[in-house]
This record gives sequence, structure tokens and C-alpha cells, in this order.
Amino acid sequence: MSTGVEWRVLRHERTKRSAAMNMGIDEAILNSVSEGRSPPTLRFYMWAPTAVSIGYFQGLELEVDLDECRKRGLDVVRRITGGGAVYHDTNLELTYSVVVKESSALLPKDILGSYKAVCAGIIKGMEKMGLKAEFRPLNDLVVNGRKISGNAQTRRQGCILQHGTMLMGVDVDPMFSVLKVPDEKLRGKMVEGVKASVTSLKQEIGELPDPTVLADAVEGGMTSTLPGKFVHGAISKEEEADAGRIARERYLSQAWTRKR
Amino acid sequence: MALKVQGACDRKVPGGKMIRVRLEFEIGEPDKLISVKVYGDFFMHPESLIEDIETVLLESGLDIERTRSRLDSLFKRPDVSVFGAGPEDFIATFETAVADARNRSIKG
Repeated sequence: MSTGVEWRVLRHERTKRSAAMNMGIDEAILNSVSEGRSPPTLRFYMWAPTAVSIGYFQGLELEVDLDECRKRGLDVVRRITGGGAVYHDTNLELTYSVVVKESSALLPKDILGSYKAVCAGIIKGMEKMGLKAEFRPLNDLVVNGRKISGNAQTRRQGCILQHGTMLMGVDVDPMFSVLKVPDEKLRGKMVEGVKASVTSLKQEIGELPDPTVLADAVEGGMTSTLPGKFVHGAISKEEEADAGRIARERYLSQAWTRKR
Repeated sequence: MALKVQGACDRKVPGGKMIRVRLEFEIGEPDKLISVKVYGDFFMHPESLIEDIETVLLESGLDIERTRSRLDSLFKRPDVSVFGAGPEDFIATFETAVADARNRSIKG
């Protein structure tokens, strides 16, 4: 769809970053879009090392085995978005973020509608990869009823920030070595439950996709479902510096990570 | 010295999200809530609403009718939207956590 609006596309999927920096960049983009320094932005990225992120409202110690994360050298970060704990495997997950001004009309104002609109682009992208994904309210995408993408949104400073995962592959056992389950007696059952209720591109199409091929497909999907023109760009010097500061001051601080 | 007891409840809202309440109160005449924390994988805008919910629970928690009316008005604020749980879900999880604490105090 073409209107006068030009989106910036940041293709960071080949330069994997730490959890603090990834979250710092998303927030720095939110700041610059909010202040009119940057256009609406679609970003693709990956994580190194493997990381666990928890939702804004979650209790750190209730969700994450911190000793196990340390042993395995994983990053642990609290997001500014709600939702659940996510295991971001360094090789098996592609992440995206979308930042727009609420007033831009690029996404519907209502929360459910805006999730749907962003997810429509991902669904289109998955279609290009040979998958039929569906939106499952509020914030998941499923293939044959099994989750392949989780999404989370916050609204602040007059902007919508939505980020989400796309599972290229799944490795459930290491995931459950660091994520706590509410009832240890049910651990086995829960692991089996997750194995049955989660899928990945690899499981569905038989091979692990190249993240750049997947990012191309989803970028194409967004281009055909969202208004405006999508143009590859770069993060500004200002945003990069802001991201580093936010990473240090917020995402690497114990006060933030242990906030709840 | 007053006896302190802790209570916990995790509740998955049917078709929604997980709410987890952790609280502590002092056994006495009457019992007195000392702390209440609410966690979960729900979505709330604005995010500061979670602290408002905790304050309501702490201030009026053992008086459930008061809690209910204050939470209802919080959730009805025009700037507030919550997905994956409603006021009744927070109250039910909280009440079960209180019952859990009382149960432990009897056993303890």
C-alpha cells in the first residue's frame, strides 16, 4: 500500500547484539520517533548470547532460574513491554520491532486492532515461507493451533512500540532449564505441553530458514499489508548513543531487572 | 512478637493470562496486611496501574467489598486498558493468597 509515508527498515539480523543493547535500541528508536527525529521504523534483529527476557509485570525470581542463566552465560533482561518470559535462542529466533507514532494512523488506535495489523504483515511473510499462520488474540500467531510467534506492545510518549518473536527453530529443553515452572511437580507435564503447543519454521517446512530470507519475507509482508513505503536505512549516531546509555542505565541495572 | 505469615496464589485466567500474588500479613486482632505484590504476563496501559492495584489491595485488601469497588473504578479510568485479566481475576487470586496465608498460619 502506498501513501506519502516512508518507513525506515533496519536490518540488524546479521549483527547479533546483547539483550540490553537490543532493548536499548528499541527504546532509543521509540524516543527518536516520538520526538520526530526518525520516521516510523521496522527493525529485525537477533540476540547474542542467548537471552531470557521477562515481561514488565513479571517477578524476576518467579520466572527465571538466575543461577542456571549465569552457568550457561545467558543474558537476562526485563522488557518495557508486558507479556511473558521469552527464551531468545541465539540461532533459532528472529525478532522484529515496529515503532510508530499513535497519531500517524499507520496502525489502528485500539490495542487489539494494532496487534492484528502488525501481525497481518508477519502472516503474509510466513505465507511466503510456505506457512499458513493465524492470529490468536491477544498477542500470538499460531500454525495449526501451535504458537510460532509471540508479540508484546507498549504505548508511551505518544508512540506504539511492538516487538515480537518468530521461531525459526525450537529447543525446549534448554529453555526449561532456565525458565521456572509454577509447580515443579508438573514440570514434565509442562515441558511436554510446550513441546505440543509450540512450533517453528523448521518444524513446519523441514529446514532451518536463513534469518535474512525470513526477514526479507516478513518485510515484504509488512510492505503489502501496512500503508507507506518501506526503505532500508540505518540507525542514527544519536540513536546508537542513546541506546548505549539506555542499555547501561536501565537494562543492565539491577534496580530495573529486579524491579519486580 | 506478631506472627507473620506469607500467602501465594498463581491463577491462570481462563482464556487469558497468569496472575501471581505474593503477600504477607501479621496475625492479630484484626489481621494486618504488610505487603502485597502482583505479578503476571498480562498487559496493562499505563504500566503504572500495577502499582495502583497493589496499593488498593494493601490499603483495603482484607475488606473485599472496598477492594472491589476501588479496583472497579481503577479499571474504568478512561486512560486504562488491561488485557488478559479483569478486576475480578485480581480479586480472586488475592483472596486465594489470603486464604493460603491463613491456612499456613493454622498449620504453622
